[in-house]
Amino acid sequence: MTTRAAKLLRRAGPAFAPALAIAGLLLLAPLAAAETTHEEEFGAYWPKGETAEEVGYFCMACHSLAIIAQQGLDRKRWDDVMQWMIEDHGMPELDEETYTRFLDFLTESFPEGSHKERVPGRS
Amino acid sequence: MTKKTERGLCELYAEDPERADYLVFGRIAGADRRGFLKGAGLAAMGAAVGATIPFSANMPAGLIPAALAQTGDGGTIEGKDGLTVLNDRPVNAETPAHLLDDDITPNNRHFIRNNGQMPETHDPAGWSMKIDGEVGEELELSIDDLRNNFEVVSYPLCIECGGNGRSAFNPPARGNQWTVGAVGNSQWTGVRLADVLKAAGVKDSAVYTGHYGADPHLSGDPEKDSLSRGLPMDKAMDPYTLIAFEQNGGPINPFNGAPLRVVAPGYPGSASQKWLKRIWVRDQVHDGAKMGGMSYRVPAYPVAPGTDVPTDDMVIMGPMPIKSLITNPVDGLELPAGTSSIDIRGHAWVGEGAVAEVEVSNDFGKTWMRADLQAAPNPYAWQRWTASVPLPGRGYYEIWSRATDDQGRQQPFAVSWNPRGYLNNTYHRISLTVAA
Repeated sequence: MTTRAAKLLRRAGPAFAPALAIAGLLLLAPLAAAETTHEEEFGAYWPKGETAEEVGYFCMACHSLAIIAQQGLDRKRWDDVMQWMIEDHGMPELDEETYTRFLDFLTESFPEGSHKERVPGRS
Repeated sequence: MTKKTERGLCELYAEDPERADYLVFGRIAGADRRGFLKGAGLAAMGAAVGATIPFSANMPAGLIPAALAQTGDGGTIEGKDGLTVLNDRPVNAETPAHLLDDDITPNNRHFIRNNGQMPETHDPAGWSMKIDGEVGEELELSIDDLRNNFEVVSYPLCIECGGNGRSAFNPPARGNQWTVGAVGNSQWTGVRLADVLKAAGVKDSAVYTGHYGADPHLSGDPEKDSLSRGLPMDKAMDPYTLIAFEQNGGPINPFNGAPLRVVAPGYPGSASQKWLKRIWVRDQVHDGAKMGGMSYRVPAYPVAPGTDVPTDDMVIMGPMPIKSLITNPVDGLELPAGTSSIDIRGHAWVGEGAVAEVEVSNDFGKTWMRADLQAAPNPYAWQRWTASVPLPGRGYYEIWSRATDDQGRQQPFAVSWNPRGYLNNTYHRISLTVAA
């Protein structure tokens, strides 16, 4: 591992060590692994499709998708969650079309009661 | 506000790129990767940040989000052993019941409930905390100041997440889907919060404490706190409410709040601020992050499952209720033919008072037998119980445990539903099979 990567790893602390370790490896082998799979990128529990990827990238800007996939909520509660994210947690406002599309996606992908089979670490 | 955040991040990068990388690593699901976030505040932020990450040119698209979003199977956390990772950003991990068998929970088995990013440093040297607000004299105290100027005390103390057991709610309650393992009973060493408050000359106008930690908000917005909860003054002045700087006689695990944290045993874990930087003594109920709305609050009256409860009808959670856990044997154990009984053991605890009785059942609750219960070494420590349970023949058994506190309050069979899934203290159940 390069000195710089090692230093970053040390400074970053344990929480992000895996990501940084991978980053360090890449310095040694920058041509390896040009593509990642959907599962590596989003997790096995994350649906496929254009909106799925948009929502995935949007949400993982701040937090892992595991917290989403742990939920199984009806539309009203998903709406509450999105409002909570905007009001309390710095999520940018979305235009109406995008907001509705994202809410539709969450409601359809993670409907009420569906979370039991997706709880991370237990599948 | 968005603009402010962007500028803040750019400045952060200009000042110290490595630190900035740390703070924002992973938050780069930017336009150059899959082309989302056009025009949104985060897009601009992501692009700006992505462009300055030293290794970004060498990284395949999406690799970092993958690494950071990866959870579950094989998810491991440095310094922890066997925990189930529910979420890795923020880090949330619970301990399977059979790994909580120790009387004193080792550092590597203590659950993690983070609300924000990990702080940049856990170094006790140079760490300090402030006491201000309704006090005669503001204090800025290093960890050495705390050690040298106040009586140092050490107790096993039980800390349980307010949402432990949430996964059993129906309709489901949003949040981390904890099963039973968001609880721990480490030996905490520190000074009494009461002594520090008295030294600062706490005024009669004091109503509540407000706690602040060093963990940045997930969004990276420096104006936001991940979590800032507090305690009513009587709990803050309780002799077992500590400002702790050691866990099990050594450094606190970084995920459990090193180098300094509040330990307010008996209250929901969120009242025990980790990475403690400031205690603001308030002349009103503290109104920091996750004190209001639906967070760590429950309906003031019983509600039907699924009820939409108005925010005004929600009240702040007080002490955690009576609860028990079977820590040995492991759930699902298969026993050889001819096994006629099994020794079981576990812990029981309650957020105020003491555990008076623990009972176990081997027949789905038709009959109960009393377990041997040890006294607590001190208030707010969990109590060991043991029992020998008969297994009269082949078949599938469930062993259930239920505890009763010294005020006669017993663990219920059914969940008392509330919107955010708090305070589930239903029986603990494990299964056993005796072979034919």
